[in-house]
Amino acid sequence: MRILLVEDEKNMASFIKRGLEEERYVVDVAPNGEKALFLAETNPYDLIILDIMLPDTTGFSICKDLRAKKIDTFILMLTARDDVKDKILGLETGADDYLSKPFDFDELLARIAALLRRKRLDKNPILKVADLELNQLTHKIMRAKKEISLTGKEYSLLEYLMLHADQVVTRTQISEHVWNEDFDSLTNVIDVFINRLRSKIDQGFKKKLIHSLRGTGYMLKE
Amino acid sequence: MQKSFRRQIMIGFLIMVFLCAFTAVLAFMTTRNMQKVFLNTMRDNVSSLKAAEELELALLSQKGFLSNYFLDGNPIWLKKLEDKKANFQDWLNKASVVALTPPEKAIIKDINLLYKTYESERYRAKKLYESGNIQGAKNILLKDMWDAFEALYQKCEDYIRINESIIEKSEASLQRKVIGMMILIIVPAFVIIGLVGSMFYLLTRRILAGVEDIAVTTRNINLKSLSGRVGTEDLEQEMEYLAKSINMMLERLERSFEYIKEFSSSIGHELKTPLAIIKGESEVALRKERQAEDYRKALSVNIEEANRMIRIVEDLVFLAKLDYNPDNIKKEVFDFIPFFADIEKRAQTLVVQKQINLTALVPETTVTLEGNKLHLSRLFFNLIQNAIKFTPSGGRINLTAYPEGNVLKVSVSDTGQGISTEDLPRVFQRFFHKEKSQPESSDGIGLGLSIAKSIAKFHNGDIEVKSTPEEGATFTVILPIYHT
Repeated sequence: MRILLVEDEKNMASFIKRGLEEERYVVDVAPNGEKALFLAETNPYDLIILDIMLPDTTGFSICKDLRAKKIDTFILMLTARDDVKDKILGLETGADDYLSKPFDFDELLARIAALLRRKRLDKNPILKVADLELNQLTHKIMRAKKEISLTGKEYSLLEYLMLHADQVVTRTQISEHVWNEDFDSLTNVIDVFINRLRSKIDQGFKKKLIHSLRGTGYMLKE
Repeated sequence: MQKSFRRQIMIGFLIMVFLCAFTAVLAFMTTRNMQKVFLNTMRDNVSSLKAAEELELALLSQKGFLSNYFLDGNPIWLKKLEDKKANFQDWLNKASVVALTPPEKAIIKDINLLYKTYESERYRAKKLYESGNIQGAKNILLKDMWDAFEALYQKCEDYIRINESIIEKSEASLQRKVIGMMILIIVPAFVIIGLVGSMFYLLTRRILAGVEDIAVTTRNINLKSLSGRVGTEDLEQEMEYLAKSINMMLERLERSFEYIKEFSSSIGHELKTPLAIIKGESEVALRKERQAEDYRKALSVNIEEANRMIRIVEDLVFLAKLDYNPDNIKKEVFDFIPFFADIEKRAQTLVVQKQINLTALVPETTVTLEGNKLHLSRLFFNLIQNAIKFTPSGGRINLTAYPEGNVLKVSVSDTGQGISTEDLPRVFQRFFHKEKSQPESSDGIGLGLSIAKSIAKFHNGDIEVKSTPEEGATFTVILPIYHT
């Protein structure tokens, strides 16, 4: 799950990014409106966290611009302004949720998870494919009732594949949702991670779940 | 007890009622007195009346004395008769004074005449008797004198009757007059009480209605509805003045509250950001076990943010002190030139990093100022730092000081992006942000220029700003020169 964090306060951006990354999210930071618009138009983010008071513009105007450009990524407004009028204006300009600073980090995580669940038909936080289970709340992975331990990146990759089970997922899609801006898509990092996942999930099981499709990408299915 | 117009007017009214009642009593007593005097006069009448009755007896006894004299020739009878005569004369004099009505006067006159006749008859009889004609004297006594006596007696009776009826009539008319007079005094008194009282009442109601309106309006005014105003139409001059004064006070209050509201919301916003960082940074740090280095980093971020909050609070306290308690700030007399040279030297170290060219033009004479050097240097550094912030690398900043009449003008001009016309009047506002040129900086909380202006005002000076967008801005500090 890839998140764009639009925040001009360096220290604020820093802890939110670190905290989210520890929760296996992939985070890009935009310190101003210009960069925020550029990143949001270039990358298919799953969620945008938007500050209102920005040096060059306001979160309201970014929100309006994004919606005008048919970018319907979930937007969570995060700001020190907690006037009801601001909240209403934020939601009216196209934000999906609003959280005022100072906030509880757990609440931020819960709201992000809730927003991300919204676009799925199945609102269950436990994803299931055959006997493979992924709990989005606890980050636990089970195969045939046995717990499997994954690194952060491996988890994000598996989560993405499971959210798109029975669908072909291209390398570009994976790089856009599982890696952030610093990722160099020309390397074979994705293949390396797919192989690691295979060795942890499919090894020792008769039924293989991760399938390679030559020239196109990968697919997770029964 | 609390003072109230209503009560005071009520007391005034009661005092008036009391005064009127007092007047009425006084009037009553005066008329009673008058009645007494009148009755006394009447009594005189009555006494003369009694005298008239006595007179009748006297006449009788006169006649008796004379006949006795004629019988025994004893002069004692004549003596007694003369006494009675004097009494009679006395009475006549009194009665003619007291007699007021024409019939009385007529009777007195008749009595006088008849008495004279009677006297002359008596005199004649006496003479005859003394000349020895006793029979002639007796004849006069029994006939002529008797007739005169009868007539006189009859007149005295008339006199008594008339007087009695006059007294009766006078008494009745006096009674009526007294009652009429009392009515004449008491009725108008009560009419006046009624009129003045209702005037008081209406006036009070009118005044109190205005007061009531003001009370209702002001009672409904709270922080949420400071826009309410007291109506000023159709009011008396004094009430209108009061209403207008209250409205002016409300106007000032509303403006102050608006300012405080905006100001505290800005403070809230400025403090919330560092608080959110301290809270968030700590929460993220505590989410799991970490290396000591990670905790150290989190703590140093927290210290950085705490320092930012301290700076904000200190700035605010400083501003409050400048605005509301400036007497505690010490002033000294000093030469501005070396002071400014020092500021320039320190400013040079600040511009090195951004490769800005900083020049200073200072007069060669001495310029004496009176002020607080610490705060004045803060003023200039705020302006210089502001200039550095908005001037791109390679730009220029000029510091110029020049005396002009009684003031010293010090300008700080830069070749930065300038200030747009719409922002120009707002740059000195507290928490006014303008950070386009340095998007990723987080320092500067929008109080610098506001503090500079407050310091200038504290020194009886001011700061003016001029700017051409995209070419630069010039801030000019105006400070009064100190004269010994």
